[in-house]
Amino acid sequence: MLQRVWTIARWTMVELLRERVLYVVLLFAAVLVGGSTVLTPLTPGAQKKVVVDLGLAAIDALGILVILLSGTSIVRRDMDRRSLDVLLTKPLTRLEYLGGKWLGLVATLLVLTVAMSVILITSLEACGFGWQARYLPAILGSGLGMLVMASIAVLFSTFTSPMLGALFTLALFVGGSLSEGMLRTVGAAGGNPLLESLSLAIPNMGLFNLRGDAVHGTGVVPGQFLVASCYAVLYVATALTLAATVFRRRDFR
Amino acid sequence: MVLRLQNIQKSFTSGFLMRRRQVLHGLDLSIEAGEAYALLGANGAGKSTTLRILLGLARPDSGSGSLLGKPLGDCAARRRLGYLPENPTFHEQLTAREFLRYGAGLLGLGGPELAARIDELLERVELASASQTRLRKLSKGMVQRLGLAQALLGDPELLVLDEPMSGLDPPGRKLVRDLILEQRQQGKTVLFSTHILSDVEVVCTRAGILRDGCVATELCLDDLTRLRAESVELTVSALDERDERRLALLAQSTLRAGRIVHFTVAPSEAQELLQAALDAGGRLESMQPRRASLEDIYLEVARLRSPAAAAKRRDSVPAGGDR
Repeated sequence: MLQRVWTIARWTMVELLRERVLYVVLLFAAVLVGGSTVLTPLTPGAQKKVVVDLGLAAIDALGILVILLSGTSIVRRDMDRRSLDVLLTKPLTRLEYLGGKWLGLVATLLVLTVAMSVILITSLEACGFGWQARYLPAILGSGLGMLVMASIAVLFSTFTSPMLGALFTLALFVGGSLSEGMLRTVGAAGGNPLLESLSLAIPNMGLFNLRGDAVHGTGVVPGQFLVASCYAVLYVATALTLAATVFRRRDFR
Repeated sequence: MVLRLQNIQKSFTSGFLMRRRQVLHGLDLSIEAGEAYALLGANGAGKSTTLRILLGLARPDSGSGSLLGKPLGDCAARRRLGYLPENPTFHEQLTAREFLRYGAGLLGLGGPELAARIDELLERVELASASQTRLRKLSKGMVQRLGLAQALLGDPELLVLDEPMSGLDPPGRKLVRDLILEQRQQGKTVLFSTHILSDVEVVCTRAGILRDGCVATELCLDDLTRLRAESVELTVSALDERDERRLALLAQSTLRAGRIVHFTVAPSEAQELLQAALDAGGRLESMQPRRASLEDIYLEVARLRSPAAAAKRRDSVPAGGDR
């Protein structure tokens, strides 16, 4: 079983890397260099913070971009080009296939995040700002957020078109990023049971945003990271279980 | 028995209103080991759906079946089959060799013999020179041939091919025909759907014609070619016009082209007409039985609509028989 999951994951990663990720890495380098060049003269005394914040935000945003472009179509594309028919007529269960696809996507995001981090470190060193260990939790937080969004994207790709899947995933990402703040505002105004129950289903992406602490040097509390990790594991498990349930019942025409 | 489908019903919903459309109406199909079976039918007749149900890609609403001795959808049975889908494009970013390695990984194949097997298959489907080319750069026919190579990777007992000739040029079609014949000679079973009837007559042992979601007619092609001489065409030279007019009374039709006269005659009258022509000083140039082709029968079955017409047809098909 593991060998088959690994096979699917490996070739999924190879394909995704050849397809889009290289361009995203190049885009990241361009954003970082271009952004730093434009913004640092405007923020005397805070250039380092700007470059770090821009770099960490770009890692987050471009990871989500890859998920929207590739993750939301990861199953549907195989269906459209008839690869899925060939794969599922091999001695492979649908669960193994889905697990392999998710793992392949996650491995791709890992490679992407590592590549972008290396570019960020190199840029910081080149500008004379230096890399600090406190930036690492912010990158790991982004990674956890990508895991969650990747599982949501895979869930949507099992039953809807890439375009709708991308829209739904983006909506959940935006909603999840704003949910903490919105709930605080609503709570201060007396609370709203509907919004509060809805917020349980939407991923709380605020949990994974550790950029502020990294940039301003306040440091991440270990408990905060542990909570974020447990939340991510739970959310990924739930989304993938749902995806497996949907996918197991599907008919392929 | 390699595969069996019994009383399969299948419907799909489509559109915003989720309208249900029945595709298969109690389909029965069984194929023995070593057969090459062609599934024929008009577009929408249910050929691909039948194959998909058989392979576990779709589930029947009702009915039962088995594949290689296991229930439909069984994972272990899939180790012993190879499948080529209709109009595939596959993984465009992988090379031909990588694509085969991908399939081999899922079949649990590996080791030094795998590379040799992949080389052999690429050679067999005439893609050795394109082994390092990404699939997006291959033509439709090349991808189709690569699909055939991946279907053959595990040396399967059963080969299921959905429209294997579509998109292929004449050499490509010949290659597929030869491959199917090779599989037959090795005692393997081949099931395929197609629209190209001339190929069916060459490679198949049996064919089933799907109409209205069930197998309307099954034909044993060996019997077909042996039994269905509908008329005989006699070509005779050196006959004068008076003899030609006399012999025309025995023939269904006559056509003169210079010194050559073509007589079309019922099989029962052929012997008598030939003897009379020779007695009149004519010389036999050729004698050819005209058989009902698969296309004739296919078109006849496709035309049938009413149960009465179906019953009439049932009486007239000699080989295999209707269902």
